[in-house]
Amino acid sequence: MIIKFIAGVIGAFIAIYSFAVYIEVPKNYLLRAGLVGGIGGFTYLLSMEFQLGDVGASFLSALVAAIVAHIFARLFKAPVTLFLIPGILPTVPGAGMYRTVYYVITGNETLAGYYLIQTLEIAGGIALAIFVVDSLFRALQKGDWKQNSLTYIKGKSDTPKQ
Amino acid sequence: MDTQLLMTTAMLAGKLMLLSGAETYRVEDTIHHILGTAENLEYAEVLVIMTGISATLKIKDEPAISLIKRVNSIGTNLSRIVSVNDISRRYCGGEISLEDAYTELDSLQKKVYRRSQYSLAVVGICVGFSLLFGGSICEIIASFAVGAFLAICIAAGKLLKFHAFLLDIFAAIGVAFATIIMKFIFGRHMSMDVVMISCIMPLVPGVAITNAVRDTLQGDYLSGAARLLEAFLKAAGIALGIGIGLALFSGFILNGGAMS
Repeated sequence: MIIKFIAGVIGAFIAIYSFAVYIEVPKNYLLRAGLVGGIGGFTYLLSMEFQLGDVGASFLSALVAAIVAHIFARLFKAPVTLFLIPGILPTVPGAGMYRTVYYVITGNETLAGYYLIQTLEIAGGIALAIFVVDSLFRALQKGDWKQNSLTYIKGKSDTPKQ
Repeated sequence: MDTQLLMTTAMLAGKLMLLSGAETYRVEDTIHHILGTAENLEYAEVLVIMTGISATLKIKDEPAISLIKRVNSIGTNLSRIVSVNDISRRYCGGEISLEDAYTELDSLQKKVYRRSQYSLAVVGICVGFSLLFGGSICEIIASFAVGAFLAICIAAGKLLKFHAFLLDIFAAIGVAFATIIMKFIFGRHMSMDVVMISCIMPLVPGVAITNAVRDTLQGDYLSGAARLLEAFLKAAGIALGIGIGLALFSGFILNGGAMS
């Protein structure tokens, strides 16, 4: 069991590191993006272990990945997208999409419908997780935690006048 | 200050970001910041939607300038977003001149990684996900092979300049085909589910879903809805491809259509 767990986390790391190359994350951020993915994968496996179900596990893992992505973005002074997109990938419902089609092809409408609903639920869960974390960090958007501003450049913090 | 050049620079920065798959609010923000550096600025208005940019700049005692730019073919290239972000920050912070900012933007390299690294990444995604989804040695080897085939499919589709939707279908058919071949080789030791699910992961619309949520959250409902549609279209393409692949090949190769 523990070996499977470790293998899963390593797998998540490899997958997200590769995905970061795939969407052309700059070279010096690759490892950090992979780390966000590893953390997301770890949360996913842990919540599956605690019987949270597919939707709950996806939501929780997207939530944790998004929080880590926001913190990384502020620590390393880079756009959140850089870590957020790789971070939520382990939870994207590829499995649900595949199973839906598979059962449509094999003629099992009941299971196809079940997996279609589950896919939509997972996608909704991910959206909710990103929404929650984005709102949370918007609320904290004061002082050093402010993104999308020129505060990174010394002595310049004003927004353009309208 | 050269107003025309300022406008061109801002538009170029916006276009590059939009082409690379940045969220629309981020593009608007960047263009606003660049236009905000104009002297005697009266107002600057920017409207960015997923398929185009329009911006107006009004300097005191001068007629207003407006530019519209149509942008098509949206891909994903995060390093270009970071570079444009960086150049615009340095320009707005007064570290580089407008001319330098324009030249730097104009000469931004298209790709960071070589094609071989890109293909290797596709294989890495497939193998990594099959580990995450609890695959055994059998499935890992199979997903390695299927991933390699998928990388070839994607490269071939790009070479033939397939439309994005068609490319998704084509690649998904490739995945279904290669997985069925692997199932034929490994027999009942291999779970077709795990391999197939892992190997469609490079195609799933993760970028579109993330951007759809973030754009909608910012109040960009138009772009949010457009990205959601993009995500649905991508998902439908993959599903269609897998469906076609399974229907076509499983009967032939796994005799009698025994798929499990």
